[in-house]
Amino acid sequence: MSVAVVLIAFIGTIVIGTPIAFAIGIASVAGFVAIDEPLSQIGSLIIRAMDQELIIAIPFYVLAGLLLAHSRILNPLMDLCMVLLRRVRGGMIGVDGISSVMFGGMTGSGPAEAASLAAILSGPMEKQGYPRRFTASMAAAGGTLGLIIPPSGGYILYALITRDVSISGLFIAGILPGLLLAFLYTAAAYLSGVRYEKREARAQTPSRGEVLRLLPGAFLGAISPVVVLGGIYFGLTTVTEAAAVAVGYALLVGTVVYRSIGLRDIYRVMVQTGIATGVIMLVLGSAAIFSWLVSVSGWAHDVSDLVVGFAETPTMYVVLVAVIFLVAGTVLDGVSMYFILVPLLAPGAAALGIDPIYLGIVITVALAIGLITPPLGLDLFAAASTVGVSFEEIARAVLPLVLASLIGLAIIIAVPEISLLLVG
Amino acid sequence: MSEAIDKADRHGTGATDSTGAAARFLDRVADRLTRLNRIVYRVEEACLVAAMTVMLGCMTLVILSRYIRPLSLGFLSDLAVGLIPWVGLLGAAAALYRGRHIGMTLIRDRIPATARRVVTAASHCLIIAFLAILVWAGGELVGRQMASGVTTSAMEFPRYLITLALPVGAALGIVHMALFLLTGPVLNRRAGTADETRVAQRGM
Repeated sequence: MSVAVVLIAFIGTIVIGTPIAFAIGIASVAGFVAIDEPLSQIGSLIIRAMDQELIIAIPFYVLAGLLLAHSRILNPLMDLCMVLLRRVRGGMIGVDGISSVMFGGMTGSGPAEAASLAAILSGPMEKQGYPRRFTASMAAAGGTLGLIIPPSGGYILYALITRDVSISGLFIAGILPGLLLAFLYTAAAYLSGVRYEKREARAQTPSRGEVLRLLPGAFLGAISPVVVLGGIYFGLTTVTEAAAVAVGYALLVGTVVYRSIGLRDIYRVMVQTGIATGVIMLVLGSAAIFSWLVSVSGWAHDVSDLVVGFAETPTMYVVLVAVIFLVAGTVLDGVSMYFILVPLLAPGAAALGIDPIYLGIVITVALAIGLITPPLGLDLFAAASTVGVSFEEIARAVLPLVLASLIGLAIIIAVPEISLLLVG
Repeated sequence: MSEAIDKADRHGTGATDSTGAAARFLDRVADRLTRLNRIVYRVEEACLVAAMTVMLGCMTLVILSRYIRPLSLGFLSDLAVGLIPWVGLLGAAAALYRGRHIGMTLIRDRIPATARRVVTAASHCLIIAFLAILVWAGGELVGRQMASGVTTSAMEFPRYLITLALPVGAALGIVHMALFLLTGPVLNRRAGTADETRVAQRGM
C-alpha cells in the first residue's frame, strides 16, 4: 500500500513537470504519512545528509572546472594537436577525442563538458567540412567522459551513498574505463564521420617553429589533470583538499598566467557553482528522506531479493544493474538515479560479493550513457543548444556513439580488471 | 437617439477606463513583486559567493598549514563543513528562481496552454507545500538544538547555526515560488519582452 502511495505521488508529480528533487521529496513525505512516521525527523535527515566533509569536493570541482574552462587553458594544447594532426585524415576527430579526455580530467560534470567542447570545437570542425550535428554529437559524447574520468561528481555521490567505498579508489579506478570509452567514441566518430572532411581543408606539414611556439602553453594544459588528481594518486591530499588545490590552480592560471579571468568572472562562476551545488544538494536532501523510508520499510531488501532472484551470478547481477540504470537514465537525471537506485541495489551486490568500486564504475558509465540517450539526454541538450542544432538532429547523429559506448560498457562489465587494475 | 448613443459611449469608455486602470495597477504590483523577487535572488547570490569564499579560504589554510607550518587548524575544516548546508540550501533557492532544478516537462509541454497553466500552478503549490514542511521541520530542529546547546566537535560553535540553513533556504524558496505564482498571470498576459516571457513561464 505504502509503495503504491509513493509511486503514485512520484509519477504524478513528475508528469505535471515538478522538478525531480521535489518529486522525490513530495513522494517520500507521502510515504511517511502512509506508514505513520513523524514528519518532524525530516529536518535532521536532510541536515545530516548535507553536513559531510566530502560534499565540499562537489562545489570545488565544479568551480575548478568552470574556472579552467573560462581560463582557456586547454586552447594552446588543442591548437598544438590541430597543428600536429592537420595532415592526418580525420585529424580533427582525433583532436576532439584528446580534448574530451583532457576536459574530463578537469571537470566533474557531463553537460558542462559537453557545452565547453561544443563551443570550442564547432568553429574549427565546421571549417573542415563536418556538419554541426556531427560536432554536437561528438561534444555530447565527449561530455560523458566528464562523469567517468576523475574528478567526477558521480563518484563523490556514489561514495556518499554507499559510505564504505574509498573515493580516492573510485577516482583512480575511473581512469582506464574513461580512456577506453574515449578511444571507442573517437573510433566510432571516425568511422561514421570522416567522410564529411573536406580534402582541401588539410594544410601543409607543421613547421618546427610553429610547434615550439605552442609547446609551453600546451604543457600548462597537459599537466592540469595531473595537478587536479596527482595529490590523490600519490596520497598527498584527500579528495576534498585536492578539489581546493584544483580551484587554486585554476585561479592561478586564469588570473596570473593567461589573465583571462577577472573579479566579475570569478563572481559569476561562483554563483553558477552555488546554483549547481544547490540543485545537487536538494536531490541529496530529498533522497535522504527517501533512503530512510526505504530502509525503515524494508523495500531495499525486497528489491535486492527480486533482482538477486533474476540474476544468479555476480556478472548477471551487474548486467541487470547496468540495464536498470540505462533504462532509468532515459527519463531520470543522473543525480536522482544515484540516490534512488543505489540504496536499493547496493545491498544485493554486497550479498553477492561484488566489488563496490567495480559496481560504482559500471553504474557511473551506464549513467553517463544516459546523458546521451534521448528523450532526457542532458549532454545532448547542452551540446545542441551551444552549437545551434535541433534536438532531433543531434539525437540521430549521436546513435553510432551511443552504440560505441554500449560496447564499452559491455567490455567494462566483462573485464573487471579495467576498473580495478590501477586501484591495486 | 444620439443622446442614448452618447450615454452608452460614455458608459463604455468608463468601463474601459476602469478595466485599464485595474490592469495598470496589477501591472505595477506585478513589477514591484518581480523586482522584489530579483532583489531576494541577488542577496542569495551574494551570500553564496561569501560562503564559498570562506569555505575555499578555510580549506586553503588547512592545506597550507599542513605543509608549510604545522598548526592545529581543524576548526577551519569544521567551519567549511558547516557552511555546506548553507551553500546547498541557498543555492537550491537560487536555482528555483533561475528555473535550474531538473524536471521532465515533455508531457506538460504538449497539453493545451490553459491546462498547462493550471498544471504548472498545481506543481508550484506542491513545491510550496513541501518547502513549508521543511521550514517547519527545520525550525523545530533548530529549536531543539538551541534548547540542548549542542555544539560542533572541533570549533564548538552552536549546531543550530548550521541547521538554520534548512528553514531559511526553504523559506526563500517559498518566497520565490509564491511571487512567481502571484505575478505569473499578469506577466503571461502581457508577455512581451524575452525576459518577462521567461519569468512568466516559470511563474505560471
